[in-house]
Amino acid sequence: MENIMFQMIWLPGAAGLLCLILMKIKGAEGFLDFIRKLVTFVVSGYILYIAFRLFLNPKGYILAGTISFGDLSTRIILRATPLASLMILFSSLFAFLTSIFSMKYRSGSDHNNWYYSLVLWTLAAANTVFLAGDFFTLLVSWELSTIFLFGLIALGDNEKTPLAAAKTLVILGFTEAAMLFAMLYIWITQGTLVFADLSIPLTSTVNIVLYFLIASAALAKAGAMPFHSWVPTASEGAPTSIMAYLPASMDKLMGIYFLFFVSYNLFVISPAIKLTLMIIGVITIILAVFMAMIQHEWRRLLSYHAVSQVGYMVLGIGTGTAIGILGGMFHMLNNAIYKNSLFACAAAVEKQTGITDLEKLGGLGRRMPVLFFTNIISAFAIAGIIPLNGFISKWLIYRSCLDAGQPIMFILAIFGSGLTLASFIKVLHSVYMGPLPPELQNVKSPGFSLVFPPLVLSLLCIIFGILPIIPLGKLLVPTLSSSISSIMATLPSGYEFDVFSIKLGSSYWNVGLAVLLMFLGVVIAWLYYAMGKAFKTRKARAFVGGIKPGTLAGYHTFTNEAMRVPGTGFYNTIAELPIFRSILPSAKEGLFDPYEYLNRIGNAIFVNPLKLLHNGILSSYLSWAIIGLVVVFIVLIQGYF
Amino acid sequence: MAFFYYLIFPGFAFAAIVGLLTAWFDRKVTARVQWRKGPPWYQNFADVAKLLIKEVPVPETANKGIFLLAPAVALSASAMAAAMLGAANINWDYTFTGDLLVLWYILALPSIMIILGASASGNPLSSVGASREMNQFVGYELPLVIAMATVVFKVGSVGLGDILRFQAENGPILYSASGIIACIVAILCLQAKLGLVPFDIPEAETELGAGTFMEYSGAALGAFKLTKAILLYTSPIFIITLFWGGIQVKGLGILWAILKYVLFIALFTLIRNTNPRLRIDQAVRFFWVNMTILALIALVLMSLGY
Repeated sequence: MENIMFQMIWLPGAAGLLCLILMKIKGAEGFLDFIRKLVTFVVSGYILYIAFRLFLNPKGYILAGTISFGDLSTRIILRATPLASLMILFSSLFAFLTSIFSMKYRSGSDHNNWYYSLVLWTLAAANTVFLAGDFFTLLVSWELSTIFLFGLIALGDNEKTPLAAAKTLVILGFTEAAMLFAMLYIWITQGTLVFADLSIPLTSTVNIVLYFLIASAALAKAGAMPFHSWVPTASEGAPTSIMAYLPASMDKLMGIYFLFFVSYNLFVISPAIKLTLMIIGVITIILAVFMAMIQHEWRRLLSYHAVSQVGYMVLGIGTGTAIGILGGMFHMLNNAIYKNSLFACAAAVEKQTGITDLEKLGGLGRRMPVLFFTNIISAFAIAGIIPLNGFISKWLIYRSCLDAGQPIMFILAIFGSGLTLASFIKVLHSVYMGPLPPELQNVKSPGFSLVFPPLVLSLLCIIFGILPIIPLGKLLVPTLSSSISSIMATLPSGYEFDVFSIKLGSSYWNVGLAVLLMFLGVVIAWLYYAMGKAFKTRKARAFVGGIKPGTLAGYHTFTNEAMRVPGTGFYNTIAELPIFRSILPSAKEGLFDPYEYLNRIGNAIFVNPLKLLHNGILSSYLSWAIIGLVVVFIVLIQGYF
Repeated sequence: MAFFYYLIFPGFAFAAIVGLLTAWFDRKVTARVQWRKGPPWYQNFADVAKLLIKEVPVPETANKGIFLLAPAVALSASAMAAAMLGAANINWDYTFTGDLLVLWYILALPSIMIILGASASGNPLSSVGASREMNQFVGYELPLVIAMATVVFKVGSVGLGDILRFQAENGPILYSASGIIACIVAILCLQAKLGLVPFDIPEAETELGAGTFMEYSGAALGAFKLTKAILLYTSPIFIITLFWGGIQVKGLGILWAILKYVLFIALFTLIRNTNPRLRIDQAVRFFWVNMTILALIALVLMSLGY
């Protein structure tokens, strides 16, 4: 297995380098692009295959060497744990699907050599994060993945790209600096960075601070509040396929995996910290979902949901109960699956129409039926509709709130789910329902490469939903049991993760029976239709008070365009309620965005005083230059005295 | 057994018949209040039967599949909700398809399907109806989930059987201060879930011309009518199960159950006959401010042990 573990890192790394050096050669651009696609496809497919092999036999320990700075030294270790190999299995799946999706999505784009190499390098960095057996390796690969994300966002080609890339780098870099500081402190005090040798009880204030410094990096990567604001900003600047690949999938896997690891393996968190995590989770759920509801831009809406869903994971992990942690980790996998699919749907529509503004879309359901199907499934999965995967993970998290004795968390988590549904009803209505806008009359169906990845993922949503034994019984319970055996031992006695049903004490969900019976119900309803004349349907004009579209109605011409009601105004009722009327418009401009506040403070303290110095007068620049020279001179001659 | 529960009793067939009779009761009482004679008892059966033999026009702008599938899913979900509640009341230890949280999500399905069907019809007025239905859904969901949490945290379990057993041992939840407040909230929320006046905003005959159901006719409309009838039967049972000790299906228990049921139906009818329709913003504000505060009071009282 050691061989496989090395391959997971060097193979995507080398393939990425190959993609990068295949630069523009006049006349051979098409051929080179084909090679790059092929290399990415083959390598990520092979990694998926070996990730599966590693998951079946998750053993392996590599001592890669020792690193030392002065007195400090630590061993560099790569090790495969069952949980880490599960994470790698999913990260490889997303890389593989991204490679397929990008074939068409990135065709004709510039800088594809950078695009494919960064996609592959991100896979290598993520795999290293999961395999890391010491803090040093983890931090380095973690930071590399941030830099690769910065590069990928910078490949976007609109006016918002520079801000998106910079904001992402600042927020993630800031929290990573906090983690670096905590790592150095641990290194100095404990003398080692190997995870297996570290176990830090949260007894002293210093250790609590250390925990939050490290957890902040995990929360920022996952996109939880208050470090969330890079996700929505990035969504508008980055290529949409990258939003699907990184913030929606890989970053969730890395961030939540590490949050779990820090909370239950590295530290042993106390009830007060658990409560803090739960509060962070619930606030993230509610604030972000309200922000999502009022968005008119598809990708921005999705990115606020990407933030909101992190709240459920943090809430579940924060409860500290076996069911909660199980639910939180399952929600992480689920979210990576359906959020990737949702972003992919948005990207496919963007590729075909060039539009991501919900107001300008409409009626695409009949042009893109498969995409419509995948989008409905993923939207219902994220809203936790029965019988999809999102329901089970949310159901576990609700149950854990009951066990933790937190009624407010319980209420807000369920309520947040209803708001999520509302928000996606808006998307489905705006994009797929109603008549086609005139400018989209010639839209064609997206091809295989754009439809296949979201289709696979939405089928995965259905499979994980109606066969809970696969995600819970086979994937998560065994892996978590090996990682936190004492907590997992507290699962209610007589718990069952059966093929079609789950039983956890008083909680019970027989998805097989429910789906069978409801399917029967639908069949009967179809028969009911058949008894009537439903199969002999008649096409008729929609009835609008007896007015024929295109004719004169009163003083107004009732146009075909007037038949189209974009969903963007669906929740104006809510946005105009007295409570929200004052908050939401300013929230749009960054009320909940700490980046904006820090930006203002930074401007006031550093930037504005420095701006004052730039007055354009030669003599003042000269005097600054002379002052600088004097300082340099003093520093240099210091050694002689 | 599960098939019998779902299809015959207490699921689809039973719920539909009782629901249609209840709808007749509601119409009759309303008629008497308005000094009219009212329909005969079989009127609703005749309505549904007639819808069966009518053709189904599908709007040119519609997504046909979803437009026709939505009523079917709504109907099967409402039958499932009726069967789950009935099964829990018949045998506390029979878990059937799930617990209270599952029931909560299954009860949400009919509303979602109404919205999706209306949205798929491509009619602008239906779209307005769908938007209102969705606003109302998130409106009543918050106080209703708080009312539900009051019960769940008092009992300490999400199993329907456990809630009924708790009430058999400790007396119905309704007989406590928190219980009665939560029950009032739940009644008003279910009034909105059923789309009865003053919360018939998504359908609003006079302004939207049936809104969400505007384009539906024939068997598809019949399915929605049946869904509504089953929900009309399910809602009082839901409240009775959560707050009033459920239904004992033996001896005098049946009579007592019918009394409780008729009482709640009479309450729904009373509210709908004495209130004018609200605007959608008034409804959302009513639920998010007044009802939520009331429900939170119930929650606080519950946590204090009242």
